[in-house]
Amino acid sequence: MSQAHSSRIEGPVEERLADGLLNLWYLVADARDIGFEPVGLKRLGQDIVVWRDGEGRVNAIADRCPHRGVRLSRGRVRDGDIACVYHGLQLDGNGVITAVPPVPDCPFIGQKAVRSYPCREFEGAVWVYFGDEDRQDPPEMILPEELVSEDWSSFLFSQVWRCHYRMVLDNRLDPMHGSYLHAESYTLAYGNKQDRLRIAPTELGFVVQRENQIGVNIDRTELFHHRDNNIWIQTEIPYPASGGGFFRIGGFVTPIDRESCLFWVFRSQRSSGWRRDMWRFLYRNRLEGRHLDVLDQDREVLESVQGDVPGEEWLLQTDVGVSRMRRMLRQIAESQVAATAAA
Amino acid sequence: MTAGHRKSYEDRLGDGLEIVLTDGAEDLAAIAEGLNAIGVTGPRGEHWDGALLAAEFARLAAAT
Repeated sequence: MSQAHSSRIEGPVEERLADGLLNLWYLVADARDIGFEPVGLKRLGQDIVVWRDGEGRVNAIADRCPHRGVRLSRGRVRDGDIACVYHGLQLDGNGVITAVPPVPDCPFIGQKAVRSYPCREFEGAVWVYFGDEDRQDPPEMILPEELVSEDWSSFLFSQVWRCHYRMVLDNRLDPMHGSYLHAESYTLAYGNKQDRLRIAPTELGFVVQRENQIGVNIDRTELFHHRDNNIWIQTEIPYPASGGGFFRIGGFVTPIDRESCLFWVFRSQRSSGWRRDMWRFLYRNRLEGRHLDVLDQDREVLESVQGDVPGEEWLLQTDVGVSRMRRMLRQIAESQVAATAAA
Repeated sequence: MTAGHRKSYEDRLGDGLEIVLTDGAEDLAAIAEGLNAIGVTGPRGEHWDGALLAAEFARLAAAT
């Protein structure tokens, strides 16, 4: 962590913003990467171990053996539970000790010893609910229409970005950068390079869009916030050459730590029948490579940013979405910290 | 057909589809007609028609 960055993280609200908001569902892994061997992950600065039990269900608990603190992710899956490599203690997906092989009739058996994390597998990804101490029981996960409706066809992509997660959110709520950073890309090479942005509240967040251009470039982006459940940002990208007019990008960001995050992107188009088949072919054959290039442009720029401090920026009118998002995150963090303090 | 030939064919089809769709083709018959007009042929070098195109899209989508 840079000195400039770390020196500004003071107080519980700043700490919460730095580590990541709680009481939300986060994508933590591509489901294909989780098998019957334990996988250690750091998400929101917390070390968790994820594995599939005998029935293929995904489990997530704190990556620390309650016995002597060894990482459980160094162990094995045994009888659907995770067995520590050090002395063989076994824990199930609820963080309950199920076996203590070195000691006969050990009284620890049956006790919940480490934190467990609610998790789900959906749309090719593993989702984990990171709740605060007072909210371990999660609400049922709410996801974008594009991921739950049969009317949409999606592709998932994820990548580690070596920057703070808030920078990714900044990027997604800044439509204007498309006309500059991505000016030579296939889908974002068009439209005016100057405009004003307007912002409008919605039931679940807000919309940022250009005043004088729509449907040409990244002209509209929308933030969805389901309280204590999920946050995502949706952008529409014109793609007339797909026959569908546009496709949507759904962006989710999962903090890894204060210096890096996982950026998850769903690219979706509403289509059915042969049009869906055509979209899926065109995505793989045409769009995937192009959009990896565009994402690389974003990633490289964000990874070059010095610090993460609004006070050191000269924001423009076109940063209205960035400003609103930051205010929203701070309000959520303040609310969470206040609730924790009250409890 | 070798893997190399298949790749080349898919790329040519992708190129052709972007052209004819951008040009306004909206249904299978129009897309097939557009591909035939610009010399983008089917997997065995044949001319496209709507049924062949739909079957080919299904085959290609299954591979995604």
